[in-house]
Amino acid sequence: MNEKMPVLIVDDHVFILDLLSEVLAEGDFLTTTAQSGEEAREIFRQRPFPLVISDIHMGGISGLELLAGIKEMAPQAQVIIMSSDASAENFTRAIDLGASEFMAKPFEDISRVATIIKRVAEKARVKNPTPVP
Amino acid sequence: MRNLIRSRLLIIILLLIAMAVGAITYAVVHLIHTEKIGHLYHLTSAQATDVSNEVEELFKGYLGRLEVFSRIMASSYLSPEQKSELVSQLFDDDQEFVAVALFEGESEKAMFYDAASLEAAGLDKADLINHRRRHPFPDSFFASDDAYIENSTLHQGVPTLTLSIHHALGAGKPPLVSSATVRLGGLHRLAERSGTGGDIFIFDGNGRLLTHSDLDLKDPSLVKLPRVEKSQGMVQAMEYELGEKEMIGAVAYTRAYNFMVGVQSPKSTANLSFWELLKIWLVAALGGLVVVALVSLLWFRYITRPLQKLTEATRRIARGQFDVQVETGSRDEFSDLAAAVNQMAVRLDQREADLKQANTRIVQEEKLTAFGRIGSCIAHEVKNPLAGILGFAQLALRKAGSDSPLHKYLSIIEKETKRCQKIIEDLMKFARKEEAEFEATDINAVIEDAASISEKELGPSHVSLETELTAGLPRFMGNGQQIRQVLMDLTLNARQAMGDEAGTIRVSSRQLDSGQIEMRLRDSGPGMSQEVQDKIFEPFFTTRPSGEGTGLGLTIGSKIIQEHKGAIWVESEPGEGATFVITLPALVDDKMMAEEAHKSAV
Repeated sequence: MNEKMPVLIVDDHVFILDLLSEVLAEGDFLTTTAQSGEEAREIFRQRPFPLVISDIHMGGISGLELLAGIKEMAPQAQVIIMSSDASAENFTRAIDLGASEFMAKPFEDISRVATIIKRVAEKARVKNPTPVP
Repeated sequence: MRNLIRSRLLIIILLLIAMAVGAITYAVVHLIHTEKIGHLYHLTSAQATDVSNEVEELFKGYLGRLEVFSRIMASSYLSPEQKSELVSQLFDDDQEFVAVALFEGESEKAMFYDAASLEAAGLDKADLINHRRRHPFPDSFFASDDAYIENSTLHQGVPTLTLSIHHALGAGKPPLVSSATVRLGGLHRLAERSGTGGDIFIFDGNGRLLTHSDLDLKDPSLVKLPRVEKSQGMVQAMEYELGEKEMIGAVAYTRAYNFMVGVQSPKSTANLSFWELLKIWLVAALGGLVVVALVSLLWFRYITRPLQKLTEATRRIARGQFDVQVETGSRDEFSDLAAAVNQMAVRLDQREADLKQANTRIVQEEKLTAFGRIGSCIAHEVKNPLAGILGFAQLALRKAGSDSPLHKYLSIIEKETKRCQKIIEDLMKFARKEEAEFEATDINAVIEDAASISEKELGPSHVSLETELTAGLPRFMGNGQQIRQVLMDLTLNARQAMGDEAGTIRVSSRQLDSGQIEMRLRDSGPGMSQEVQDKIFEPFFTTRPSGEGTGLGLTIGSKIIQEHKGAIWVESEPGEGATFVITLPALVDDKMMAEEAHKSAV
């Protein structure tokens, strides 16, 4: 049994955080949530996460800016971007900035969401052999 | 008062006619005046001749009576009493006779006289005898057979002439002479009849004035007829001046007894008649002008009637009533103008219709744009809650297990939320300003693509899909994928409309005379009413049971066609199936290229 992987989930909608926490609770994840980009960046600065799931539009700094900051602080960290604005532009920018996946909201199938997160988590586990406690 | 064209024309015409009539009137009157002077010559001559003839007749009468007296006196059968009785009858018959006398040579044999007349003038028989003695008969009297006429006036009150004739009694015997002294009354009565207002004068053989038309003639110098060569029976007219006055006169000589008759008239008589004549003519001309004015007024009213019609028509056009057609009923400049006005009305009507149509289209487009903008805002806000609802429903479904009574409820929540999601996605698609790439595209390829995908997606069906494509069509500038999506949506719609009935969907392509490319998608379904046709492209309009489709498919399709500068509409009758028609602008001069491409593909 692997050690539980810490995941930082960022969204300004609390029920999305709850939903994803619920989904991740089924796997070996240790979930931390943040309701804004600023808050997430602060948390990440104190303790880098191998896996971050973030929304794009959140009032303050956007998920894409957060993504850029995380990749600067910890290039090996895996980031999944999700958005209700699934435009080609957002998709392209997210991938260019180093996002591992892009999930459009609403999610077509919550099981698929779990699958995607688990696949990226595998990648994160490989990139981060010794997770920070 | 308005200055109407017809009044102006009327005034011009009346002025011209007045000028013409004035000129003609003056010319005619002048001509007549000239003629009038000639006429005056003729008139005076004729009057002189007439009067001279009458004078001659008068004296012939006097001489006839003198002859009777002579015969009576010469008769040897009559007694002196009988002779006296007959002579007194002579006096009674002719009031002009003052006295008659019979002479043998110079000696008086008998004398009868009107004592009352002589006495009234203060004369008696002795005066008459004395006059004879003082004025013996000239020798020329006895040498000729003519009567001898002399002025024998003894008193101003009784102007007289004495007429004498003689009869030879035989050789050695003195001739028998009969004399009659007559008053000038008869002669004067002749002179008084001045018909033309001219004066008449009668002179004796010696040129002495016997009488004239104006008895009270104060100035004898007025009687100054020019002398002409004395000739019996002759008449001569002339013009001359009398004092300051221009005169026209004529003198006529009697054929016997040596009387001369003069007639004179001032030339102004003719002038006076000139003005009289001009006055009559001018009144007649004015009357004519009034008639011309009335006739012209009616005529101009007739001529300008089309103008009034045109004015009325343009007023109606100005009020926006374009169903105007003017009929002038003539073939002139007015009918040309009417035709132009009619054409203008038709064009305006057409233009207004076009404008209305364009306006409707713009309003529709703006409505859709606004709808898209609002929709997109709402969509963004709704998506996150939808993600939550859908996610939790799916989680709950997993946890509830298929035998749980909650499973059914949760499934409904999931299904309906997904429908919401689809609606939101369509809305976003519609609102998004997609910069689709346009390129020269072959419409037939797009149709074939759409047909094969539709068949694959929808699987085997009782509805057959047929294509009827015209080869060698020009290409259009656009996005093949978008057009294909529209065609696929239409196909899907048609299939759903046809329900479980077997039928055909036929897609055709061709080029219109206007150069546009036309696609027709015809189904054999139930068709649709006019109401449905009017609303079919509006957002969220659907005839399907609620829960199927989003009601945005055709809205998005129509937006795509609009972005291609094309048009889409539906033609249908209930029970007759429906035909969706799409027209797209063709690439100019692309037919050749298309044909080549078609050949190489074959």
